[in-house]
Amino acid sequence: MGIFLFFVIIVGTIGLTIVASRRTSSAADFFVANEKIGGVSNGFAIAGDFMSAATLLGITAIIFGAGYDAVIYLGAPLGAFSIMIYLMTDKLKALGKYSFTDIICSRLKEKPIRILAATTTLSFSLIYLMAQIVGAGALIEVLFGDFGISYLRAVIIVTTLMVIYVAIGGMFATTWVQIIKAILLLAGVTVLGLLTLANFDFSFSAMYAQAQGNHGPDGFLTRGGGLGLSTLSAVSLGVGLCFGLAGSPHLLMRFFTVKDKAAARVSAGVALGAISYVNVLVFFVIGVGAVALVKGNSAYLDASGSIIGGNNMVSVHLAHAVGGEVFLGIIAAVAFATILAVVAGLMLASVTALAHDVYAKVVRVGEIDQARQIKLSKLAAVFLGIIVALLGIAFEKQNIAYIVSLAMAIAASTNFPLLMLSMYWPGLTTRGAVTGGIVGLVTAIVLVVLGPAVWVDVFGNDRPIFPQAYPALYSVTLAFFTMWLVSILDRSEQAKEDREKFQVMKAI
Amino acid sequence: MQRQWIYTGIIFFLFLVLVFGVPLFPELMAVEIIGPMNLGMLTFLLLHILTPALAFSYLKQIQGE
Repeated sequence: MGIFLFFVIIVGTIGLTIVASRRTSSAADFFVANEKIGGVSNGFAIAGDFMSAATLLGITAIIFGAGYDAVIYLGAPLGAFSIMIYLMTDKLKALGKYSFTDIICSRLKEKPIRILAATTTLSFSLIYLMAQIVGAGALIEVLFGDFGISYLRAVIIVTTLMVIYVAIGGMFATTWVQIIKAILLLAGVTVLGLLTLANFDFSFSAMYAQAQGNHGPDGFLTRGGGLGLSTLSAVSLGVGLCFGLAGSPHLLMRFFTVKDKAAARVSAGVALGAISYVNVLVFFVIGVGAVALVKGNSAYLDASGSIIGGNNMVSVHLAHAVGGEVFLGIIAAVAFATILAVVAGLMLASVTALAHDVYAKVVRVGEIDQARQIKLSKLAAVFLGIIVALLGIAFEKQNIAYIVSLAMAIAASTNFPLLMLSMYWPGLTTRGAVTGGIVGLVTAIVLVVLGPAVWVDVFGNDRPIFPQAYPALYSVTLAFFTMWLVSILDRSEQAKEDREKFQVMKAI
Repeated sequence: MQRQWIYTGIIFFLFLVLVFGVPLFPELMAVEIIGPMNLGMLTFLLLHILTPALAFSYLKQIQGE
């Protein structure tokens, strides 16, 4: 069943891509679907873009292993989407065209800002894409390994599909894949949740009692402490996830695909509703159900007593426990669709940064014909796809948790402060924005490298130079502080112009 | 203060209660309220109900203006 649905998804999405390609003739079609996506549809697409395999597989695994502490991972997107709805969507839609950089450039000097934003977007997208590809390769190998799909083949399949969606179908194809994925995920978690509860005659008390017994005497299933986070680590993790998501270019660019501010707000609202629904099901039912039905179940343990395929597979095992082989196949296919939708969104954001922000706006200074821009975008998709596939193969054995942490820290420490200050602080200057952006980017990378995830786990040193695994609290603070300090000290003519332009931007 | 900042503040307050509750006051958050649901889980549920509810209420208000 699983392998059948695997091929159905591949054939179906390629078919959609071909249809989408017929609707893609201009740069506006390619990058933002010519603003033709409806508010509700775009909301599902945003939900599909955001909810990576981490939502269903990763968060369930965290609840399975550490219990209650998953609230930080699940709560952060709600903070991020609240920022988007209340503080960002109107200005994004009013001032942006293809990427979030357009908003910053509406008041600051274009060239340095575009180069900086393209650097941070590409850094974020490539690192996040690499994490998704490594995770996807491992997951697909476990799910479909019996059918001859190895890690290498899985990486090639996912990156090839990603390039096909973006290069041939542009934003239309990416959007449709994301909508289908969101609907599949919503339906999948609903059925999984209902089947899990049905196992306990719809008694939460019975399910929690069994799960508490399986989880162990520490009580971490329902109380904090399972991840062993210090106060600073917990806050830094929350800040990184929340501000990182609010500064994620692949999510922000989705707001340019609708026709007006009202539709953009509706998009964010629908996405928020869908994400909240999935979060509640994962936290209260699927995660706890996995502890109750999979933990200690010999059917899902290998010879060493570990979960077959690792903890990331517990929701798939839960699907088997409550729905048998057929439902296992369906959930495996949902996980596969989930991966495809997220990587397509990330790839499109990377292509936009290269083809629109760097080539069209900086190299050609806006003087480029649309056919050439689309052609270049397609070439960029192929080029980036090859790089991502090679990175995915090279990083096969790496722990992807720190890679995700790094990507989020970069978005939180660069894009987020750049956007917020350019939208809300009249004093921000080009010099302050560029200096603060570079400081945020460098700090995030250096602190992750010097932290326990890389310095100890990857390089094999005894102890980390920087003791925290999550650097965002420090890198975000430093980025905001640098932007503020350099801006208030900036007395240049450009600074004067930047401050005056804020008043014009504010009036829009 | 504009209402969008107030709404953002409410959501962030609940989120921060969850974040600080993990390392600083786990025992308080583990106080049982209804059946297996404790204070932490209730805060989590409240955050997930209130966030979309406030967002849709805000969207309605904006559309009416």
